[in-house]
Amino acid sequence: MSAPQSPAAPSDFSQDFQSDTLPTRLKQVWAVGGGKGGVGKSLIAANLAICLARGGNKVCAIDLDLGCANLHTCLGTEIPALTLSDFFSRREPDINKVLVPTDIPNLFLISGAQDAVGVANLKHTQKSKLLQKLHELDADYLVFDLGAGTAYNTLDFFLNADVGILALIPEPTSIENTYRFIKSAYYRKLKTAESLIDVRPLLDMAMDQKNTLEIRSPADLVREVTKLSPEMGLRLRQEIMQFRPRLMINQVRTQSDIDVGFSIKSVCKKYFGINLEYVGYLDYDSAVWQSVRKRRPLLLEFPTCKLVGNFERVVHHLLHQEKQRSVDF
Amino acid sequence: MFDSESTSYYDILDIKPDASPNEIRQAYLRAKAAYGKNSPALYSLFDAADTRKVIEQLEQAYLVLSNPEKRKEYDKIHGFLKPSHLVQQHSLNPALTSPLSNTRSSHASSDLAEHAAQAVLGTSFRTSVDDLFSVEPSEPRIPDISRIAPKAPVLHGGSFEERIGSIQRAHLVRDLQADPVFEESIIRETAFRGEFLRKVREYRKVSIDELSEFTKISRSYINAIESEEFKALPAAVYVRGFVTQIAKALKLESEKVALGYMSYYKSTYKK
Repeated sequence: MSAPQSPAAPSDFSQDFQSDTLPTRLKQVWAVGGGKGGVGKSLIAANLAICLARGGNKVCAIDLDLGCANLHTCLGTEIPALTLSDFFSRREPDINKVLVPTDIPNLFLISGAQDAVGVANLKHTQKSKLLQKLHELDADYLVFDLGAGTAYNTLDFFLNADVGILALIPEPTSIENTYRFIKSAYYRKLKTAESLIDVRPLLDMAMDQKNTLEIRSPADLVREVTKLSPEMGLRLRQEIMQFRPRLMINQVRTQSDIDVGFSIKSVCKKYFGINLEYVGYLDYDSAVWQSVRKRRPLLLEFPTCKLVGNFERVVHHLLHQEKQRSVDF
Repeated sequence: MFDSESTSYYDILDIKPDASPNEIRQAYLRAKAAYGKNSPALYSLFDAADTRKVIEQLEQAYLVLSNPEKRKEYDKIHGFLKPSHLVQQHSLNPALTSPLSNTRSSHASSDLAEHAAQAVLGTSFRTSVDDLFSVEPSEPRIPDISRIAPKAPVLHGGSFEERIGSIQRAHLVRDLQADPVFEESIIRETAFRGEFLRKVREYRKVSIDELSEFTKISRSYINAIESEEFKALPAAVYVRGFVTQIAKALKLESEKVALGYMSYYKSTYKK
């Protein structure tokens, strides 16, 4: 899931991660997405960013929910003078000038507020330029808050990240939309993969749910492609293996809500053939709506609520995973 | 949809070929939950026909892999090499307790087989998500996480994956009937054969479905236990665990029941 141009390596955990000598600091990009609206993506993005910043990392939280920006509210910042729309309109071509500080040391925000009407319909070139500039930011971590739905821009932001996190609540509507998102992201990834140019016609066909080859699931797709060419099938499997979204369940109230994560992981493996990693859950807590209404960051406003532990565990898990992976290189 | 030619029983349960009995059981329970009738995770992806197929595969896989001899046979045929440090399963003493049994509140998956396997193999749960979640309890100050903390000691509930089994419905039997004659016969009972267990279950107005859902033991196993079809059950150590769980669910003295049932089992059934 890393950017095709320049793979973003995980940040170094040694003491000199605060060094300012590198022109472009090695950074890691986390994106929070997931099909359904209102499940807590902005909340999750904001508070993951807070945890990372409190760990001593320089973090930029970026609101990529174009046309529906809420990240500034979750972080408790005033609506900034300069935002993404200024960058898009070229009123402010330097992305660094659009960064604003937050109440949390080491944490900065690029807000999507004061948005121009129509900003959700970003052109491909604008999107590429934005991603390029974001990767040049001086930070250890970028945290993307993505929008709901499965528009290409949203999918591309998700696929561009090193760590893609899917947020869902344990309800059928959210679960169904999460599967939609996975399916869309999956096919988007395959369609844009260089190594799979030859298979694109088949991919196109497979993406129509009711196609003639009875390809109902991505696992079926792999089977059909392998029939055509074992080598292509192998390449397909390799691309698929690189797609490793993480899952977080929000608004958990019961044990079975927690358990649903494991079920979804299992079903994903069987249906899509992808490895979804269940990285944690967030308890339902009235502290959340209270903090949102106050327009204050949750972890600051309610430092003793259960979610503090929830978030810590998730971050710990994600950092530990990435560290293990970097050791393998 | 399912690549049955190349899918091994290990693939079906999504475990490695060197999985411990405990891991196998956990994987089986997880899979059962994922593909159960009311599983929310199936919505919009799997229909009833697909799920039936999956469940069949799961049961078949578990039937073989949970039985040490059948598993060995399967491994031999399919070329799964076993590392030499895996201990012989049939020498497990089901009555062994492990340190973990004190910290865990009783729940469906804390059966004796698990403890026995734990004590012998000395390993903890699956490593995929393991003790990464065993951080210190949350304090007002957020601890420094920029350096990766060494594995903290496992506290109440322990790892993320362990905790999934910890909260179950507390009671299956709601109102304990007052048929004094039958109650008396329960107290006096020592044999606890399958037929008696069935009688108690019906007396307590619990269906096999309900019992299965509560204890997480499959319907076919509960049936087999009640009709004493020992061939259809996994290894003795598991049967004892099942009987214990069923007894607890039906508000019987589990030790007494297990003792009675297993003595008949051992005296009549030689694998």
